[in-house]
Amino acid sequence: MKQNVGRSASVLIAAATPKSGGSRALIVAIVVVVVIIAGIGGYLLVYKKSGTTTTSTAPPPTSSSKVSITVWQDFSTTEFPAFQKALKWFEQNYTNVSVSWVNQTTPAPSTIVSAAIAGRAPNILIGTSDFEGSTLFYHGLLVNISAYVNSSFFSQYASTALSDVTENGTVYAFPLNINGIAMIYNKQLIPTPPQTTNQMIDMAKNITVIQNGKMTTTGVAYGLDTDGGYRFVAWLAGFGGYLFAANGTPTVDTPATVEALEFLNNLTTVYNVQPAGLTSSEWMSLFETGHAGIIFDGPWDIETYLTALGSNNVGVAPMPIVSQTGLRPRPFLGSIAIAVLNHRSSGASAAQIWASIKFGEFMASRTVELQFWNAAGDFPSVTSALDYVMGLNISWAQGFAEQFLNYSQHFINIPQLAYYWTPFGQYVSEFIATNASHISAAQAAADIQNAIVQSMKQNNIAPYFIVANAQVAQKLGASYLNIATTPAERVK
Amino acid sequence: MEDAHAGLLFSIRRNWRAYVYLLPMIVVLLFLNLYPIAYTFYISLTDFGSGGPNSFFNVKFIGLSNYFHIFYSSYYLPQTIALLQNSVVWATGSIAIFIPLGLLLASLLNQPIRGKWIYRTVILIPWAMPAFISLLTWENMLNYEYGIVNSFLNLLHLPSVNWLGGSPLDVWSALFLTNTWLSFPFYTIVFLAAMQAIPSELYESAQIDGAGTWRMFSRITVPYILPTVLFVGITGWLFTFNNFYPIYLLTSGGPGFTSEIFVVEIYQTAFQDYSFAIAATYSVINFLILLVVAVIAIKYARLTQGWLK
Repeated sequence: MKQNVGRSASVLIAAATPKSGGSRALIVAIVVVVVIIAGIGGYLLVYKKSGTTTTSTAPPPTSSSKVSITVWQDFSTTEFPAFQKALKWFEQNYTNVSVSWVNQTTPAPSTIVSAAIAGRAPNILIGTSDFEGSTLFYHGLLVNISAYVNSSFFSQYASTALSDVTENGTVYAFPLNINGIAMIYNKQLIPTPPQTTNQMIDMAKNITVIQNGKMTTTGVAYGLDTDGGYRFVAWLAGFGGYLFAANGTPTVDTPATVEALEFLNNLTTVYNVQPAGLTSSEWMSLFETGHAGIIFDGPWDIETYLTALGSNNVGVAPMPIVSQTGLRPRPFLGSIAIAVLNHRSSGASAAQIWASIKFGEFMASRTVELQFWNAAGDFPSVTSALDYVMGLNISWAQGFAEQFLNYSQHFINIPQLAYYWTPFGQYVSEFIATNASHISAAQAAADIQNAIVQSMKQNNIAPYFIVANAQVAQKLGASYLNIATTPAERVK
Repeated sequence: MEDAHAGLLFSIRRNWRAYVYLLPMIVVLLFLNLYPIAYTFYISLTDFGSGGPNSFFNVKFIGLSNYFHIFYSSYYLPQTIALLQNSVVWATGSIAIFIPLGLLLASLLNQPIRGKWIYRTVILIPWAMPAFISLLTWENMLNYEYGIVNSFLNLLHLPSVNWLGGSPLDVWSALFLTNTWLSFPFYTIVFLAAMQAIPSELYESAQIDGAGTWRMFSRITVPYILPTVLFVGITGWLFTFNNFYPIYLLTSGGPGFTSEIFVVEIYQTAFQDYSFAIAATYSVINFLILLVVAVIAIKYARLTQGWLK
C-alpha cells in the first residue's frame, strides 16, 4: 500500500511538473482553471451571510417596487384553505407584495435552524411559539417585532397568547391561535365526563373489553411511553409539580413527578384500562373507531373525531381533578405564531422585513383568525374573536375554552425547555419497561433532571454556565459546578 | 522501478484526456467529502450552538474542550462508552447474521433447481421496497399489544414480547430482525455472483476424486469467494456502524440508552438539542474509530488472502 501511494504521488508530481511540450502545458492550464472554478464555486456555496440583525426602530417606507417574501408553514389539510384565502386577501391589500409558501412537512425545527445558519431561512415561519422563543429568538434569528409595531397593536390579543410570544418583554412573533389539550371523550362509551381521576378509572374499567388477551376497547388511551413529555406536563401540575422554577432551574426531580409517572403507568399495570406501548397514531385510531373512551388531545384533531364519530358523540371537558391532590391538571397553553426571520438568518432586505411584518399583522387579525376557526376549529388569539367563538355555544368548543382559560399553564419558551423532551422519552421508556431495564419512577425523575442540568451546562444556558477562567471563578466565589441564580453572577 | 515509472508516465502522456475527464469528479469529491470532514473537525473545536445566546453566529474557538468534556465528564464518559458498545454490537451482530445467511441462501440458489429465477426475483423484493416503508411496517408488526408478530407467538401459546420497549435482548433482537430483512438480499446476490464465477471444472474434478459436499464447499467455494466475503463483510460492518434509520425509526435509541448508537446520538444532539459542536465532536470520534477499523481490517484481509494463496 505504501508502495502504491508513493508510486501514485510520484506519477502525479511527474504529471504536474511542467516539461517541454504543449500538451503538458495544456494539462497544467486545465487543472489550474478547474481548481480555480471549483474554489470559487465552493466559496460561494459555503458563503454565509454576515452582518448584524436589522434593528431599525421604524419601518422603511412602502416599497413602490414588487417585494417577494416566502413563508414556511405546515398547516393541516383543514387549515390550509383558510391560509390560502388569507393569502389572497393579503395580496389584494398589499399589491406590491407577493407571497410564496412552502409546505414544510419535514421536521421544521431542524430544517429552519440549518437554513437560518446558512442565511437561507424563509422570511416567515409559522410554527409553535415555544420553539420560536426557546430556540430561534434565543439564538438571535428573529426580528424584534416590538421594534416595528406600536405597542397598542398587541392589546387586541388575549394575555395568554401574548405571553406565549414574549420573552424578556420583547414580542418575537404574532400569535395566530391558542391551543392546548383537554379531555376528549366518546359519549357513546362515557355519557358524562368524569370530574376526578377516581371517577375516570371507574368509568374506564366499566367499558374496557379484553378479548383473547387483547384489549379491544380501552377505557383511557394515553400512551405514556410515547408521550414525549408534552401531555405529561398537565398531569405533573395536577400532582403539584412544574418543570422549571422561576430562575430557570429544572424542578423535575420531585415527588410530584414520581407520583404523576406512577399514576399514568398504573393505568396500564394496575387498573388495566389502557394497553401498553400505545403510539399516538394508535390511540387516535382507537378513538376514531370508537374503541377508546377517553383521550387527551387538542383542537387541531377535533374535526377528525367529529367526522369519524359524529358531532353528537364527541365531548370535550377539562381534565379531571387528581383525586390524590385535589388539583387540576394544567396543560401547556401555547400558540401557533408567525415569526419573522431577520436579515442575518434569511438575507431579507429592509423592504422584505417590512412586508413580513405587514403579513404577520394581517394574518394574526380578527378576520383571518375567525377564518381559521371556521375551517379547522383553531381558537383565535384575538380577544374579540375568542369572545365571538365562546358566544356560539358549541359544546366541544366550550369544553376546550374552559380548560384553556381556567386550567392551563403558560407554555414556557425558555431555551432550557429544548433539553426536556429527549431525556423524558429516554428515561420514561426505561421506567415503563417490565424487565431488567426497568428503573423506578424516582430514578427516572432524577435522571431526567440530571440530563437537563447537564445539557444546560454544556450549552451555557443560564443560570448554569461554564466558568472557563479560574480568576473569574475566584472573583465570583463560585466553583465550576455552582449554580448562578442572578444575571449579575453570569459570566459574559 | 524506473522502467515502471517510465511506463506510467508514457501511459499518462498517451491518455492525458482520461485524467482530465476525471478531474471534475475528483474536485467534486474534494468538496463533498474532504471539505465537510475538515469543516466538521473545525466545528468540533468551537462552541458552535453550545456557547449560549447567539452562538450560531458568534462562534468561538475553544480547542479540544469538547473532547475533554466527552471523555472526562463523569456524566458524558459513561454515555460515550455506551454509544461505542452499542454501535459495535449493532454492526457486529448484524454482520454475524448477514454473512452466514447470505452464504446459505446463495449456496441454495447456486444449485441446479427449477424456477431459480423466481426465487432470485422474490429475494430482491425486500431490497427493492423503500426502507422507510419497510421499517414503518415492521414497527406496527412489532407492536406489543396489536402487532402481528406477537399475535403469531400467542397462536403458538408463547407469551408476547415487548420488542421495541423491553429488555436489551428483546430490543436488539427486533433490530437485528428488521435489519436482516432489509439487507439479506444484497449479501445473497453478491455471494451468489461470486460463487457463479468459480469454474465448474473444479467441482467436477473434486466429485471425480470423491469429495463430499462439505469438502467441496470448504476447499473450493470458500477460498474462491473469501475475498468477496471479506470485502463485503468489512464494508458492511462499516456501513452498519453508521446505519441510522432502523434504530432511529424503530426505537430512537431507546428504551433509555439501550440501542443508542453514535450516529443517532449525533443526529439528536445536532438537530434536537442544536449543540452542533458536541455533535461534530461525536462525528469526529466516530470517523476516527471507523478509519482505524477499516485500515486494520483491510490489512488483515490482505494477510488472510496471502495465507490462503
